[in-house]
Amino acid sequence: MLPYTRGGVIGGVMLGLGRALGETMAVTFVIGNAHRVSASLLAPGTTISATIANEFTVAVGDLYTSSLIALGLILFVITFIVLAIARYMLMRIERRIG
Amino acid sequence: MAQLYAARRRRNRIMMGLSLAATLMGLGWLVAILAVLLWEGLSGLSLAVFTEMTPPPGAAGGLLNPIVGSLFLTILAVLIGTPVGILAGTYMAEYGRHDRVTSVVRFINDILLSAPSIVVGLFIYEVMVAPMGHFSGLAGAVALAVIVIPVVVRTTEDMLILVPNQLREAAAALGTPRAFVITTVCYRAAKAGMITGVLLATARISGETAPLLFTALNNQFWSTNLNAPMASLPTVIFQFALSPYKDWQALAWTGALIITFTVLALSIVARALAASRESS
Repeated sequence: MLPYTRGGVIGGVMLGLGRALGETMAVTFVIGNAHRVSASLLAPGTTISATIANEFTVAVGDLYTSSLIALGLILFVITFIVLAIARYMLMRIERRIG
Repeated sequence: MAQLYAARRRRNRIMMGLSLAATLMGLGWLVAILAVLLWEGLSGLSLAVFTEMTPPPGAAGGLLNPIVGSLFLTILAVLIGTPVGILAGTYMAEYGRHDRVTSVVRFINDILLSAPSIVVGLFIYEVMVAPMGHFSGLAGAVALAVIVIPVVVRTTEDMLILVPNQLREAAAALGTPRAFVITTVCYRAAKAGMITGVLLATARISGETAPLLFTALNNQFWSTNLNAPMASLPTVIFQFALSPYKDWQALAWTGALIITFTVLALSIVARALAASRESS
């Protein structure tokens, strides 16, 4: 069963990864929005979506706003690629089933 | 031989146990979330929550304006998104089922289905809020509609594909024009499924915060003006939960309780509808 549906299972996992990448609010609540890269998983950090959610409404000046929108673009491109691969894998297995 | 079977049975039992544990863990999260919400939110639930405006910190108040704002935004978003979604889904299932365009649209639509909602918010900010010069409830509703469309497209297409071709052929044999075949035969056969899709989309957007943050923004006061910032339950929860005031935090819990159970009820109704279609 598992080897036969492997593509589908991996596709499902990657679909989940895509959702998690873009998840905003659940992360914003708990991450702490600290602007540094920390080696510890227990220290505050930030994600793209949390940064946008926290800072967009307070961003002053064109450069600040544009940088946040550029971050949004990066996030979208990453999720697009992940989701596209996931969908491709799921589509392939759907075609095999018929 | 008996020994081999015993070993296999033992291994089977261990694996079944692990699978069961994994299932329970998945369900456990749902139960835990509901329990915490009930525990924290139920004490704040009273009539005042539904009849009074959001208070300044330190005063009594309710959640009337965000509840009404959420209803406004959600209904408007569904009204905008559903026709677009149904028409697109109809094209994909009825006219261009095997077209190249359809498979490309299907692929893109599936990606939009799980695209990050904050990016939708940014997009609407750029195309609506920035040119108009101010935040507005309308922009919030459009942002939510962008999330509704892929869900409705997907379910409409899936449901129309399930309609047996013999029905279409029978209708066509009676001389029915194609448009009437679709509206009076296919839509009727797929109705329950299509309504399920709309309900699922409603459930999906009524809890969305991210796309509203920089489109509908928030409003401390009663407002039904779609051209002005509008309060909504999720953004108020976000604002209140992260505030340092105890009474605001309590209201956030109550709001979260209301919204979670509304979404839960919507999802259950949608699933029940889908199940009744399958059994009939």
